[in-house]
Amino acid sequence: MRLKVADIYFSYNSHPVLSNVSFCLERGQIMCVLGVNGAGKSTLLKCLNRILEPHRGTVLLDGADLSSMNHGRIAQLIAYVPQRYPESGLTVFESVLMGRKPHIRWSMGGGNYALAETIIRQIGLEHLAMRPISTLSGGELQKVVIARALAQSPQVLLLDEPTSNLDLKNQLEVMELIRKIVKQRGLSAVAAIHDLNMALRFADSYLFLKDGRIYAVAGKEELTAETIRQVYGVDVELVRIGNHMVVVPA
Amino acid sequence: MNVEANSITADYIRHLHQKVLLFLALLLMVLVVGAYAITHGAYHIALSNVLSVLFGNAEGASRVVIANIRFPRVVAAVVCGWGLSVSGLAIQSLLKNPLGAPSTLGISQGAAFGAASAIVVFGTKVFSVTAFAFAGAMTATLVILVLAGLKRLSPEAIILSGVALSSVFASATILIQYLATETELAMVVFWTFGDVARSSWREIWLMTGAVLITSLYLMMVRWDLNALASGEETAKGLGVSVGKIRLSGMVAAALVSALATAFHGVIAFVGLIAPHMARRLVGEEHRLLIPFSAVLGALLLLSADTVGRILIGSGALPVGVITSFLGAPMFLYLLIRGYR
Repeated sequence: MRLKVADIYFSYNSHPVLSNVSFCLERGQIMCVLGVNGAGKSTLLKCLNRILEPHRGTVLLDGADLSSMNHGRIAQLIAYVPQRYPESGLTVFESVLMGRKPHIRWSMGGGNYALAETIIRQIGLEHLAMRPISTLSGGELQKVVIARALAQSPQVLLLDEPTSNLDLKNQLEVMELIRKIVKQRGLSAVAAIHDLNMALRFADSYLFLKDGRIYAVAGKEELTAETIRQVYGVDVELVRIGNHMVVVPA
Repeated sequence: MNVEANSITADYIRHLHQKVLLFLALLLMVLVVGAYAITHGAYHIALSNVLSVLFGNAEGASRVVIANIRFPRVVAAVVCGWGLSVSGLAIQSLLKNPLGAPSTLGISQGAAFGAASAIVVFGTKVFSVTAFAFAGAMTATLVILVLAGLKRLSPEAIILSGVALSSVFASATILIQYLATETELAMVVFWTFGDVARSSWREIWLMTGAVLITSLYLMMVRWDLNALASGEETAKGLGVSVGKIRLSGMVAAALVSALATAFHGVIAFVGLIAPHMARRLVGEEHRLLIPFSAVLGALLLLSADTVGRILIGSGALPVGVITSFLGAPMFLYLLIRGYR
């Protein structure tokens, strides 16, 4: 088992946000965290790499307990793609290069440049490499942030709403890119996501959060309209169109 | 390193080399303005004379003018400009606030208040004045840090808090002036003019040490600062101890601002303008941004002081007046343009 999360508990000012959250995730798998706004999706992601310190619970990565590691070590293993990424004057190349930060002590040697370049080419950003990221479109920027996360050479990717600001084409491109990389590199990815149809299309399993607790963990086959109805409070139907299941509000 | 000529890496290294050349050109400009400042003034001295005073053992009036007056003034302007600019950059990066600077957050005014109380209470011993200035600067810094950290105030709210802090310190300084004797009052008022002409070599060395240490520290955490420029969560996700760096960086910036204020009075806006000029030239990459802010701060303050001394005034116009005239429009421009 790659990622094993047991009994996570977190509260803001004694208001519990997460209780008893436990799940497992294998290599090469994408798990989507689903739930209404405020269900604790983002908080859960941040607890996984200790951007927020969970009050209780353990996160094991290949059997190693994250609570015994410092933040630098965790950043070598887990990369986090935040929901909002502020514009800055850094160029695309500099932003991707920054992903090497957890692996360097003093100087960015040549090997890091080469690695950043390889990732930029893989993602198809080479024509933008020297542009400041403040001049990019939403889709381009999201790809840069994912490239930066990959430059960390992580084992686990945490993605908070990776498609929320993107048009349909870019949503599909970005999710396809994430799936390709996760499969190719044998990573594990946990993505908080609002768009149920994107989740149905790209995830291998689903974790439903309701009021900070796990309502259900389901694989692709076990997902039912009833679960979605209970979690979102909306009457829906699951319909198969071609190869894909889609959620349609009734 | 073996790099293909048309690769992104090669482009980037070329870009770095260009910036290094630009940096050397700016450094040369500092030297040229410095040489102009030493040779020109009420008493004109030939450049050859200057060199023989600095590196030889020339005697006479030119030695007195150069060694005791102009050279320390030029060095003080360079070090003070460098220090204020690097402090301003640190504040802007650590608080993610483009309007941040020692003078806009009340740090300089806190230092001035500390210095004023030291003068009135202890007389003019250098170390008590410095220590009090530092305490004043740190008080302002801590208030800003608490507001920025605990209350998560917006950039505008932080600057407004800076305005409030500045006016509290200004009122407290006035209260001290009210209680002071005439001599002390004159000294305190004199203090409020930012002027680089009043420091001795010992003070210049102390300042240089603090500025060097702060600059080295910032260079050490340059990748952390880059990460912070991409947001606090991104930085934490990259393993940056945001709280620790914010505290240590702000303390270093406050120390430099405090020394600058204790030795030279409030020199406003250099810490605001110079880092923004540097950003225009090299973007947000702190590996370049820190040295560029340093050299631009030095160039700006040295030029302002030289203009004030030679072109405008009778030789005694405090440089703080000029930097304020330059800085206030820049501050308004940043507010109107909005920030990234």
